[in-house]
Amino acid sequence: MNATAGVLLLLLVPPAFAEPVRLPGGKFAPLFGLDVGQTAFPVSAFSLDRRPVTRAQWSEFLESHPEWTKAKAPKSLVDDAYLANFTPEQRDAPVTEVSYFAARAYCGWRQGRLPSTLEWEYAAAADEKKADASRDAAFVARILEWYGKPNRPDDLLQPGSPRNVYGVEALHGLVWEWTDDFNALFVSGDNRQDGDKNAKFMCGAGATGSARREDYAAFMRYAMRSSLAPRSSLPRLGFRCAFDARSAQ
Amino acid sequence: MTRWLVVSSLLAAGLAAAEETPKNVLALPTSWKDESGKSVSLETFKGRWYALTFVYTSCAGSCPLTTKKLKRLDAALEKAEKPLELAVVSLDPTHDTPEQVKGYRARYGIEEAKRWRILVGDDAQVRTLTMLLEFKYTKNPESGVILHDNTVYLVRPDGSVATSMSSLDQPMDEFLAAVPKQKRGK
Repeated sequence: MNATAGVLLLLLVPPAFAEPVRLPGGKFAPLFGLDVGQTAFPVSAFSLDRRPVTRAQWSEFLESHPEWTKAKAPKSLVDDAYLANFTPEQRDAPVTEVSYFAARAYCGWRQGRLPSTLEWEYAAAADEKKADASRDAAFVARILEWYGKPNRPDDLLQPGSPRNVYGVEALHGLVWEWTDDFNALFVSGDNRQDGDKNAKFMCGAGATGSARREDYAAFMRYAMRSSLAPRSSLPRLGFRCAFDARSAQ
Repeated sequence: MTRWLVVSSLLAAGLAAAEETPKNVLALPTSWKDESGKSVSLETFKGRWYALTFVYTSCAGSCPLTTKKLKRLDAALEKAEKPLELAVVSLDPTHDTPEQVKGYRARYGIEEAKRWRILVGDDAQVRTLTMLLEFKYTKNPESGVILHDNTVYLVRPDGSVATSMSSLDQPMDEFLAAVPKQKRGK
């Protein structure tokens, strides 16, 4: 499917009402996390929202859960930027400026959860034709082009990356997204001090020690996630929900 | 390069948001089981000071050091007439069955350590509590090895974190000093 066809499909199916997409289980080599001798991790089948959660969906959540409105959400769970510029207008734009805790509460409300980083990267490695395009220079370049673009307010109304081989859209080109274990990369303050011999956690070895050094886009995502605290809210940080295969809705 | 400007501004925003986080273990409810199988919420600790940390019983890495340090902390608190309950939360709830926990106690000679409360929940509970504390961990899905922070928290009666220390090589003096004196047995 080309990009134009993807946009046409978007017009036919309002994103706010799209059902989660079922992804088959498989094997995936994430950029980080593999130990010596490991080549890939198993990923169980799961379902993932076709698109990031929209402002319309978030508004529905706030109606039934007013404890998550900007006025009521506890400061231990959100920062000052939480929903700072939220408006229910532009209904199909992804909701942003939500903290990890708020995003997690939303997915729980839908009997779902946030995807793990492994699941998210597994889904996001796919392009329109193949399940793992993460070594495809053109695919990576397309993602990097988005990372290099200055943000404009109307960017949130863009379709984002076209529907991939699993049927998931806008994993790139729209917003960064929370994952359930977003902060799990650098597990201690100083790995030399802790005697950890895992060299990829040493300064300067981050890119060269990773599983796929050509996937610089993934490296930037891991860096972005590592910079976040669970209370953080950012104008370009949204999320989508995942569902276990058995409870997929 | 524009790309770098965009990314660096995003990273800076994220880091700024991370500052001055008021951590409180009661900000979200979590539920656990103690060693007798009884359901325990951290609400039941409300009104008391206690120490809290995370281990997993099959851990061969830093956990033995954490456990040994907790033993030293326990003894030092006792000596200073400031005994505290120690909530030791499992990072590996699927593996840490009551039998495993019993073996862990035997291995470290803490069978009779009544102030130690070993709590086992499920992965979602562990994720919630660790996020509230910004305690980082990740489980290798194939080997089951868990890489994790090594932090012991001192929790106030209202659930907020008073101070914390590394369970590895940081001296415990400041941590001990932050614990208020209380009546023995409380």
